[in-house]
Amino acid sequence: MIDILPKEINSIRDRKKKKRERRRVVDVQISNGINSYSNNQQNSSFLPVIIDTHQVQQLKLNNNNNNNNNNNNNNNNNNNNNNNNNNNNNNNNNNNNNNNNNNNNNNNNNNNNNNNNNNNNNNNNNNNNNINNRSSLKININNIINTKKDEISECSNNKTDSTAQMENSSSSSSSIIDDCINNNNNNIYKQDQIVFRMEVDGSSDIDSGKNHGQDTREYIEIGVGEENELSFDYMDIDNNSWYSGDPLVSEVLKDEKETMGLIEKKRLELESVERTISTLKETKDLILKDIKIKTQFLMSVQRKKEDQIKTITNSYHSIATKYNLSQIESRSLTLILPEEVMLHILKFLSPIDLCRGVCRVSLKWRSLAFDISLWRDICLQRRLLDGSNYGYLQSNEYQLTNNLSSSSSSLSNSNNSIGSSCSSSSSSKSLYGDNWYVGEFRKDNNWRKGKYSTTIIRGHKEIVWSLLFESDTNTLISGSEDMTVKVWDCNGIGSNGNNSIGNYQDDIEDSKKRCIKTLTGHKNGTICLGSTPTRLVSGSADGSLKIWDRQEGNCLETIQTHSSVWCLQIMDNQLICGCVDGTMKVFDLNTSGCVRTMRGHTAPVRCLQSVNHNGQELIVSGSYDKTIKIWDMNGNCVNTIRAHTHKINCLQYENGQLVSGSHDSLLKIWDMNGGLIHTLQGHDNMIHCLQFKGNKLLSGSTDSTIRLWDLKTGSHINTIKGQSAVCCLKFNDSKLITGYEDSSIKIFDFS
Amino acid sequence: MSLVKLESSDEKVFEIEKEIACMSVTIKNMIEDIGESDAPIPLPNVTSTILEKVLDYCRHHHQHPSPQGDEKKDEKRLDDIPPYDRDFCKVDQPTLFELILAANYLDIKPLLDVTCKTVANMIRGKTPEEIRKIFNIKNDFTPEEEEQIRKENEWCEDKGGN
Repeated sequence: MIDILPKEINSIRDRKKKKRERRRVVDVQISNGINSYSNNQQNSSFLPVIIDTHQVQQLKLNNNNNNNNNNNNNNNNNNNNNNNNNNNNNNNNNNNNNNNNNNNNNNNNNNNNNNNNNNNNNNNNNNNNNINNRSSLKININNIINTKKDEISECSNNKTDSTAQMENSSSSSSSIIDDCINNNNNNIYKQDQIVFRMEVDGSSDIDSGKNHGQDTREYIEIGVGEENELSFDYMDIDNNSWYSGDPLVSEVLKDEKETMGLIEKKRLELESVERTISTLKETKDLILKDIKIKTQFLMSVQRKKEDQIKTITNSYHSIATKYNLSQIESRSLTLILPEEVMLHILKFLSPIDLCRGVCRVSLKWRSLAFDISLWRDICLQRRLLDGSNYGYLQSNEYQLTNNLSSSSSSLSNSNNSIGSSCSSSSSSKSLYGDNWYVGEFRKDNNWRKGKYSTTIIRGHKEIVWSLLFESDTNTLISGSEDMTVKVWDCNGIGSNGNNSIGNYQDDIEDSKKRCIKTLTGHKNGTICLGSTPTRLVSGSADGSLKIWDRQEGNCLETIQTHSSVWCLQIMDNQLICGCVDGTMKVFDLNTSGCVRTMRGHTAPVRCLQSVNHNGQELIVSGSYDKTIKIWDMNGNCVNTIRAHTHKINCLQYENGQLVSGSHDSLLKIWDMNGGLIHTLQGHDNMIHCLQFKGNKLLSGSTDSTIRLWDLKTGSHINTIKGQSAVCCLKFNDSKLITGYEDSSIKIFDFS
Repeated sequence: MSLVKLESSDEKVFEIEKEIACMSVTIKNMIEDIGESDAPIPLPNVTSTILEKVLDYCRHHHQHPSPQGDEKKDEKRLDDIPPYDRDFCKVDQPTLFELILAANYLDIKPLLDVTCKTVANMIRGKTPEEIRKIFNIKNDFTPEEEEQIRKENEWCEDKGGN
């Protein structure tokens, strides 16, 4: 087909090339204005028309004119549709100007191209009609036509008579155009959408939306009938209507456009508001209905309530009559319950409920809340009365650790104790009437919850190795690496003073006042301590044992051994000590002579305790050789327990149970036959000291914590944070005293 | 099974199996003391309304004996009231208190326990003021006494400690 193209047109085409490169004329669908709205979705058949490339412009013009013609015809035939179109005009305000513009162009085109004679009349009519009816004719096709306008006029200028050229050429192209037109005309009433499929030169520069790849040809589809979706990327055409340039009109046009836009916007707003109103109305109806239902329900509930009130009133009235209650008392039904029944009720309440609620209700309730039998039950349930630790009732058995070496952590049941009941018990007595149990419970609760006041005592210069505490006199004795033994007065600490739970005291002046005596004489650290009512005994790393007069504070006797003394205990008139060389020596306190030497341990003896097990006097010792040995009083080793995987630091025996603590950071609970009962895991570092009493087991560790354990179950109850590595500890039921690597002593008071 | 007659304070006579009646230790002792007779056992402290309820309770528990042993294990638990007992105790306060008194007088331990537990549940977790309101109790503490009690019991509050 390219062969038959006139050269002129080829040259024109070349010139157009550049222009077209800017365009992307793709699928162009021209809407048949009349039916486009009613049917364009359903019917969209395409009519392919093959034309020469160089005649594209003309074809478009023809099509355009045809369409106009068609539109016109359609208008004539389908007057009803005019209304539709007018509606379309309204809906597509933007198109109006463009359509007007198109009409303008069409006029020009018609003037310029007389070859479209057959369409002229129609076009003239169309021009008028188009203003109204061609609104839906796609702008974009008109735009194309616009762009072509110049080219065509150019073309027609080149040819003296373009019409003649077109007619006379009698080329296939013109016949194709005729075909196209005919086809158009033929199909115009059948189809709402017409697509002109223009076959162009395969090498053509016309950008085709759909390259069908047939031969070297491309197709350009011009659809008629689709809505406004046509798009052109180039908009370098003047879009204004012919009159829009007129200053008189432009303003009005602008206003018109804007106003129409505004009206449309408002209309949409109105629609949405109306929708909202209707939904709100529905909701309102629902709510009203709901309220009605609920009101009915409320009435029935209220009726029920009134009935019940009536019943209750009658009940109260009859019960008041029966029990002779006055008008005021008639609803105080607890008055009619005998005391034992009230206590039976309180029995089901927790101690916390009793102390927070019940006891603050009234005087009567208060006296009931602190009933002794009630609290004895509570304490029994908590196993607070297990063992023999509660001095208020069992003062003979309540012995504080006045005769121990702290390093051996041994708590003795032996006879030389000067301990007595815990003084703090008496203070709680006043608070709860005669109910001692409440105080016990309260202290236990504080232990468990970690509620305490703290006092720090400073004075030692180095590690505090051992502690003794005498509850009856509130006297604390400490031995330190700084070679001294210090005696402290602890009166006024904790419940006896002004300290209450949560208080913290760290006063050097106070510490100075509390330090009654400083015993000096050892040439190395004081590792272990012991006491009798009149004497103090200290063991030192310098290998000596010194016996001090408690009153005067002077050294009465020095016993020299061959190696450092790490632990000691006083039994009647005998003193037993454990040494770094692995031996244990028994001395007579009166003569200071060595009575017996026990050999067996292969490493330093770190802790020992004399015990009475089932009536038999025994000595238990723990050593850095990882074993616990049990000795009879003749110095024979009767049992060896391979207790830990690491050095043993501390142990205590009581009531058939033996607890050991080790560098392996474990605590182990044994029976005296060496049977393991519990292993307590929790400390993060080696354990230095332990003590247990009743069901309470405490352990101090290098990890700077003191842990509270349940001895029976082996479960961990609470962790108390210490100052630094805990080297020694002693406790009674209200106080915990701890000595630290950083030379401080800290007293926790739980009462 | 032999029947016994019980007479309430308002002179209504109830007939019930001896075995059920003997869930009350008091009645059991009476029967043992006087021997069996046709004469109704007078219960001057219990009204017919309450006695009827008590007998309902006894009948139910006679037919549905609760497993023994559990009771002792956790005597202090308040949430272990079986459904029947819970419903049984859903009565107004005067009735509940009369039931307690009757259970106490008749010495029916399970009934006394469950009614007392119900009252304990009414007290549990309440502030003194709330308890006073529930039972219509007059606060007869002086402000000083109140402050003293508050101080004494600071230890059981959740706050505090370090």
